Amino acid sequence: MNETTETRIVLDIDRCISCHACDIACYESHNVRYNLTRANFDITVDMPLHCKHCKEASCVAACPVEALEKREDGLVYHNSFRCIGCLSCTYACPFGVLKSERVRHIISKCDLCYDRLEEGREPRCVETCTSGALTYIPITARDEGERIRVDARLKAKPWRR
Amino acid sequence: MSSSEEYRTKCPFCSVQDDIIIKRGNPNSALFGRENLFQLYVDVKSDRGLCPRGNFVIELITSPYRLRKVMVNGKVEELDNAIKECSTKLKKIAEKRNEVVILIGGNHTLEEAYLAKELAEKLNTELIGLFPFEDEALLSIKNDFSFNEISSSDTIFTVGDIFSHSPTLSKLIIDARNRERGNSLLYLDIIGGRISPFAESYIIKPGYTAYFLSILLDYINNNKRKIELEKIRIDVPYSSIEEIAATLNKSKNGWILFSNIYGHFKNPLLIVSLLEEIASVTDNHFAVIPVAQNSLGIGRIIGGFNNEKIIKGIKNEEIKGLISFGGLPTEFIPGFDDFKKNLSIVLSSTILRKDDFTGYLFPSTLSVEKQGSIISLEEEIVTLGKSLSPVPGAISDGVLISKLIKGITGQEVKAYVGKVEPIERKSIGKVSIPISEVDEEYPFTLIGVGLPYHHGSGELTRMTNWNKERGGPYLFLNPSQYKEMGFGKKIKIVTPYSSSLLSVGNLSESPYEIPEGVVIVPTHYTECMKLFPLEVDSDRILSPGAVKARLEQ
Repeated sequence: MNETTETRIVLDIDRCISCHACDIACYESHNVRYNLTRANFDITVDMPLHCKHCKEASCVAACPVEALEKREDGLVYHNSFRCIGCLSCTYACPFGVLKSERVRHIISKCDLCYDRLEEGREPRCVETCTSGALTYIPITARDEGERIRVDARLKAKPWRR
Repeated sequence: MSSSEEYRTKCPFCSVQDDIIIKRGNPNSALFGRENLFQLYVDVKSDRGLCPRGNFVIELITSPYRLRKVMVNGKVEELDNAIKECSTKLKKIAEKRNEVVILIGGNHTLEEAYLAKELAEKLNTELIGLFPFEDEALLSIKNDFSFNEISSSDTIFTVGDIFSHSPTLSKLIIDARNRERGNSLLYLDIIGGRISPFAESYIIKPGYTAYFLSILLDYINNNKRKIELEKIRIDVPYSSIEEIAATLNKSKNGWILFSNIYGHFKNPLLIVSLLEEIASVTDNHFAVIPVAQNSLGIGRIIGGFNNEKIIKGIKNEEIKGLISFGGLPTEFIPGFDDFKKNLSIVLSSTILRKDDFTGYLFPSTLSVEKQGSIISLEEEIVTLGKSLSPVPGAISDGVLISKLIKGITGQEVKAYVGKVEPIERKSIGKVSIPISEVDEEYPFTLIGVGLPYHHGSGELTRMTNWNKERGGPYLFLNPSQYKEMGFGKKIKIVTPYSSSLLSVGNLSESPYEIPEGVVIVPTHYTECMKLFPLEVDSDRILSPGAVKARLEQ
């Protein structure tokens, strides 16, 4: 596996302040299109959801017109021109991160800002994240990160609001 | 297409003043359907990221709602004529002392603030004020502040939701809280905010913040007034005073931050003085985070607390002329519509259109379209960096003020605000193109869009009846420009990549408000697609952006 396969966008839920900077950066840089899904629950959770670029992507298997493909570098790539907006992939996705666009009647999904990765840079949402909640790190680095984040979570007392 | 250019400048919105890089000419990041002729996108340099407002700057620069022409009572007027009229009226009013008022926003450069002060002298008035009005509190504050030190502090006590007002400070604050067990983040406000889940939150009854802080100050000064706060319905127990005081007293490197937006707290000036005192007694640092980019600098240049005098003067009909730079007076003076009948002249500069505004309205620029200097919260003078060319028709407030001074006194005053003169229009044949980067060979900008209509049917061909009725590939352009050109119903469009003969669509049905010099084509037609450097499998096919083009009969 190469570098892209091993590296993912990781959200530290204990840092996200729901400022939506990632949303807007994504929107502005992808032809005025939202590629990020929001995780909303009650009024307390409002965080970005990224495509996980699964190793065995069920969305790719579900697509009837080969608009989704698993590239060699690990990216699950969506071709807007081929997409017919049948939404098969949105039903197939186990994480619920694929969504349809009302205007264009195609789906939109995270492309990891591959144009930037080719330049050796991070995806736009990661670079614009105001609180450091989003990181673009190797998958193996996550375990250590989670342990630290659990500690931090214990310090907060949301019930005091 | 112009080559890629980088503009390193400062985010125009808040006092955090993040560094931003605006790139132009990147073919991979085209926007469409708006009046951006330059293919802009925003990039981030700062470690603090860029908040939604900062990311939005790109949309604001290219917004079709930007004011681009001088408007007098809702009608378009030439710049020079409007300046002449204003100057004559202002000169007449200025014969009496303090009959003209100047309000200036916090997002101007220091150079513009000096010019505004000079204009006030020429207009025989000392009534110059900063808005939002509460930012004048900064005039009395010596900020003891450095962004870099926040992350190493052990205690942060924030009054107001700093995560909402200045989100790019959140990383430093969360870093400080997480750095070591025992570090504290305290939050006092009248309503829960973005910072609530991260902090020990003390949400008190609106209007009682200053009262709460005065009790806290007394407690810290060993004047312990045991007040049953619950009984006076302040919503927090007295033990919270003890908790906050204990945390502030034990901190070795603590910060007290005040973050306010206009109208949020009842007595912001009192709160600021109380917090400053608390910080002094507990030996912590204190800082006010104003909302506007350069409130600190503007406030110090204009000096004095004139806003109360200004508002009273307007209400009492003592003021005859009002000038507001960087925003409309209706946005900042409560009940302004009731008072404006007393004013013989209202002059304002603004970024976005306001067609029903009564008075003189000048199209203004954002700070990314200016050069000059501002004061950072660390109290250092920083320069804005390289500026973009302003949108056609817009002039910076510095240029506007210098023109007004020249109109009033006949003196030439140089506006040190960079390349902000209006972009001249170039005539290509019968058409004048109001953009700076006119290419003589390709004077038009061609924007390709996936029109929403043709996806509606669900057919794989994506052709709806609306499309079929047109009978073939078509183009949209500005109706008045089309009329001026005198072309027929078919127009040949030539780009560096290819050419096509397209029919002119029904311009009254155009889903876009198309500016002069712009042609829009739907890219699902092969004839249109070939005008762009596209391949069928390209992900950018539905909105391939802009290329330069020319039209032929």
